[in-house]
Amino acid sequence: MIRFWGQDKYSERELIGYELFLREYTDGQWRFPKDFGKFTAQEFADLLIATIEALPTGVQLVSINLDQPEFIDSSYIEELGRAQRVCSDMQIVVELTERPAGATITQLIDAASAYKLQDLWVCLDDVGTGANQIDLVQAMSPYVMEYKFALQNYHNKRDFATLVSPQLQFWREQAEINNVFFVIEGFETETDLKVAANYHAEIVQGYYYARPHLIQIKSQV
Amino acid sequence: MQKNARFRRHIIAVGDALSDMVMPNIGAFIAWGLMLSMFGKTGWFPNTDLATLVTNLGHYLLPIMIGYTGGKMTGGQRGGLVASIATLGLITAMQDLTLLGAMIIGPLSGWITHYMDEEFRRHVRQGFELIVNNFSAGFLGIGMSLVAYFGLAPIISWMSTALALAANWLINIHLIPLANVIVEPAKVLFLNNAINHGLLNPLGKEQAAHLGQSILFLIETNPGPGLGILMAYAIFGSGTPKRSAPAAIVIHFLGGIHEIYFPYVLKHPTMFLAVIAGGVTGTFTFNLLDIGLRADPAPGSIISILLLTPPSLHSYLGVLAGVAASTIVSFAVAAALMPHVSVELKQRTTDLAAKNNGALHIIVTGTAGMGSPAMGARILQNQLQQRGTKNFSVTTEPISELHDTRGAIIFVRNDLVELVRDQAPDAQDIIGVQNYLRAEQYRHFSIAH
Repeated sequence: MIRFWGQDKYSERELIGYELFLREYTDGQWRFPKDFGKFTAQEFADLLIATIEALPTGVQLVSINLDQPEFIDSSYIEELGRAQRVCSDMQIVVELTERPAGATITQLIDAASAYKLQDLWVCLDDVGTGANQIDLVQAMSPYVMEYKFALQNYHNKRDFATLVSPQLQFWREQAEINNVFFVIEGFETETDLKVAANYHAEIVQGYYYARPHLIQIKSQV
Repeated sequence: MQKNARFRRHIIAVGDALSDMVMPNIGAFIAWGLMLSMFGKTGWFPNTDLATLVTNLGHYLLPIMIGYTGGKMTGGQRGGLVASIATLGLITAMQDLTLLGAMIIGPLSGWITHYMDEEFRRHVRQGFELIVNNFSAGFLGIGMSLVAYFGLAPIISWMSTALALAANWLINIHLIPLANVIVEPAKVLFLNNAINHGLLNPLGKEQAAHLGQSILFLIETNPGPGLGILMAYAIFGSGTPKRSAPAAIVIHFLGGIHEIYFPYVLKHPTMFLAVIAGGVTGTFTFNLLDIGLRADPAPGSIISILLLTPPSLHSYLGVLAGVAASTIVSFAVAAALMPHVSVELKQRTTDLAAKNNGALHIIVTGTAGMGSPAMGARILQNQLQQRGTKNFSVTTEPISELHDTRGAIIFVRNDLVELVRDQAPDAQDIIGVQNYLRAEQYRHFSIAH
């Protein structure tokens, strides 16, 4: 059985939406699916639709994570477009993860353009890490609505505040230049709040606000 | 002619700014006035300890809140912070209520903070923004509090004393009714304390000690002028002032919290003529009928005034006649000026349109603390720009802070439409949306709307 777990996203003091994490129930526990490829895009989209229908009113966006292979897969583009049409009052955000998997910049741009045509938002996850470096970010910027910066990547570093501030400044400015929304995730402590407060993210999320929780759906998927 | 019009617009702008600093803090004034009426020396339940609380409320909280509001108007949260520190400098230097001074130092501190932030931000090295922000606010606060202490406080004290001397001169040459020409504007500008404490109360106590009553206790506390203004707004006004005036009448006339009508005058400075005419009429009537009170009524509610009226039919009727006469005159002048108030409103709209080069003003709003309206505003702006639409501006502010809504198009979440309708009855249209981030209404919206 697969379900989405949702982590709260806030815009100022408003609960604006959830980041949805796919989990599979095996051996009495909810875990990250070992084999993501065993689910079809249709199953993924059906679960997404059922999950959106179970969310409280007032929620305005949900984001899901796709690695590069799924991101450029035309069946995902088609099925997520269907989900967006069915759930027209909810903004679906497709987060492209930073894990490199050999997709070319052209393939990623074409996919992002296709998502945009279907009114889906594209978010570049963990900007500045993995494959989501500045060259890809700039190339995809016309088709992207959000840059997401991950504070948690710096938590184990010494001089956290001094190290992360220039990065936040840089990506905040990139978001301004490319007219996209800036999202910061990974808030865990008050220090994170103090450091990141000056960078005026439109959306924030992290364990400090809420941990992911199971979203019960009404229909069978 | 153009110079006159420009001068009038400046006066209106100053009045707007003063009113905008007072209005959000009216609740604090009400709390102060009510506590004074309950626990003050001449209150219903006099209590020395609680009277100290009331004194501190008036002496510290009210000016700091006004200063903070003024600083926030021009410099955001940081401006408000610097303004609060500066206001404390003013309070320390002055013994009287420092409200007018707070209304000057507040916006000034906010503007300076905003200017310094804009000028120096680009020179700050990456990684030092937090430290620079915090220390700069502290240093600016110190500087502005010294400016307030050494610079502004003496000027305000001098103005207050000058007004008291002028009122004293009028009383000495037996032109008591004309004292209201100075007292009424001074009261609305919060400059009346020197007149009250330095002139009217001491002289009034002396008179009352010899004669059993003094007209001087009625010069500033007569609720008639304010009542007339509020009644005129309630009947002939429009928009939010019309809707809020009835409740303000109760708070003013029965509660004795005169500050509630000050924004109505500050917003439209022509109304000074109404309060002056009402005040002069009232004092003339009291003088003609030889009416006075036994002590200073604090607060100036009709109940306190009647309680301190000497116990005779002549005195009670005389007090009521004076209050009624001042109310009628103030009401009549305010009603006659109301069409000019509408013209001022239209002028403001024209000015706003001129400021926006005739552009359509679009507002995306929600309740305070919501971040999605600001995101929606950007999305709408981008869509309109991509369609080649020109001549528009998109802003975002919480419903409680909506202003300049005349002729605006307002987007708001469906369940908040009625709230916006109450707050912005002069908007051109209010459009409900289900989701600020992907509203169909943005797609179909065009400037020809």
